[in-house]
Amino acid sequence: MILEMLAEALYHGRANEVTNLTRRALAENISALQILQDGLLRGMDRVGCEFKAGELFLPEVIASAKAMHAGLSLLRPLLAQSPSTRLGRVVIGTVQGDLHDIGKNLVAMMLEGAGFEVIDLGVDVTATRFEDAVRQFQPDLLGLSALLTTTMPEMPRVIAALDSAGLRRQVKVMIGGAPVTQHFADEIGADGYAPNAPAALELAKRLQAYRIDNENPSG
Amino acid sequence: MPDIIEINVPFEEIIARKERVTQAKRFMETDRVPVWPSIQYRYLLPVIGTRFHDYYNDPQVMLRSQILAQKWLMENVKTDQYDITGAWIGGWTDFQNATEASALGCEVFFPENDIPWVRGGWVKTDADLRRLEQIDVVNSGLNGRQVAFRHAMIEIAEKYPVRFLGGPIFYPGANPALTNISDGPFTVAAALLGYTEIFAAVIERPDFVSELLSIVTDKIVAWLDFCWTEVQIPHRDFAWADDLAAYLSPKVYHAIVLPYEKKLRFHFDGRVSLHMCGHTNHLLRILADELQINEYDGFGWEVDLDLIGQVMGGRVVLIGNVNPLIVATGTPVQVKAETRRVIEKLAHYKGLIIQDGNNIPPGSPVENINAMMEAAQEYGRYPM
Repeated sequence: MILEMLAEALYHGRANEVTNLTRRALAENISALQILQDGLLRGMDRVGCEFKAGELFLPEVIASAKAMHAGLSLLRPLLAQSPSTRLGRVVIGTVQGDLHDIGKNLVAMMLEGAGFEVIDLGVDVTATRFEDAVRQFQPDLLGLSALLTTTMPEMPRVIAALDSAGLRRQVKVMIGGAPVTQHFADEIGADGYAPNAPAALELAKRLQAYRIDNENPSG
Repeated sequence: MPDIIEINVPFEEIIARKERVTQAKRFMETDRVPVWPSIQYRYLLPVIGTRFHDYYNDPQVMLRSQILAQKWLMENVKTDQYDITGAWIGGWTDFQNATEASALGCEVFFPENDIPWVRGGWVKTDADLRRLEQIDVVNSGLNGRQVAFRHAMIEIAEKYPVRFLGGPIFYPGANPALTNISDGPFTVAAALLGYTEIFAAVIERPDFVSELLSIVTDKIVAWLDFCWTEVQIPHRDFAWADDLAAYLSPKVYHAIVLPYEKKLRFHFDGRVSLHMCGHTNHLLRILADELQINEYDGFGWEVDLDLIGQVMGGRVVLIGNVNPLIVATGTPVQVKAETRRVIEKLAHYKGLIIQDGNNIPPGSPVENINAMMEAAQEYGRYPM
């Protein structure tokens, strides 16, 4: 019951209510993992579906993402004891020459809300900086965003920089942004493309599952 | 007498284009559906070899480049565009979408090889709102630079006489347009508050956003009034955009943004034209019924054609909405098919002008752009 209320509060973007309900659920000895999966993530999944269907809009999604953060901030220390709850680590940024960040921010929020650790490099990020971040943070996934047709060519430059540095095989690259297409992703050798934030989350989960399966084939 | 820049398009052809577009805007049957691709200077400057840095730093380079760019466009692109003066189409103090935010205190970034962009917001608190109120929007930031560029263009206008084949000589620099259009209250407010932050604020701090929108709208109107006086614009027609508002639900748009859109829109009693890119199915009825727009300019390729036909067909001039990514990366056959689809869905309402939905990406092949006109010539002839 309390987890249903939590999912509902998250769906409506009520951060204070999410905080209170998360505290109550913990006080009732519900595990952090169950609160995350059956409360917060259930609410966020509904948000993602309705956003994708055009029934929810950007402000409502951001409010839910913020409510998710409120709940996660209480759960994170407990979840940290169980590494299996972290979906993976993502480095994300808008490519060099491009200052647009609404889409990138939304993807970052949704990834974080779903349990990924997100390192957001911001906007106007050079290929070298992406390369350095991959080396430094060892992410599972790298997300590249571009809103302009003139900045899209930065994406293959980032991939080339990873190639040259011998880092390409250790990270899956996903790309997105208004002018980006699956065809373009295929052409530049990205691992995936998503047309919107919920799709980016699905893609990230899929790529990460593929990664884990291939790293641990016996598991 | 300086050399006349000849644009190799017959003057009679220009008159015919104007007639075709004017008739379409009156919902009359023309010989065919008009076509007016949206090709801006981001596309054109590389084509004529002008560096963006030079263009934004020298009014003479800006004026000359605009004329040469429009000459190239007129001679190479199949279009019903009929003049080369006015905002967006030459003889214009062009600082793209950065002027309003810049005049209201935002930092502007000028890349070497692209148009200027606005860096994030600075208006976070009530004290910031009070500071915003004090800004002289006419003389600040890029608006002050626009006025200086306008005066400089007027001084050198006689160096650049232009003529269509068989037509009279005219001087695009003689009375260059200031940016007498707007990015819209919500989009400008987003620049001031932060492009992501404003979407959280409409829910968390709606009163703050409303006050910000109120101040921004007054500043926009003050600038526009200045433009009308300075340039002596002889009509009260007005065009504006508000792209970011498309991401709001009808409820939030109606409650928070619409009052200020209306204030701006009804400041003008001529024809009004709105541009709003992206997915706007959910706002169409508000735009038609409450904002009472006359033209929906460059509406996004994601808009449902059946829906927009039902809501706006026959009463709002529809200018759109061929997918610009197909123009950029597809083939002429694909562009033609896409254009045909728009014609078949919307031409019977009349008042249709084919355009991309919206803004043709730099580097798009000319044969793809021209495929829009080829489709109109083949499938868009009246009567249907």
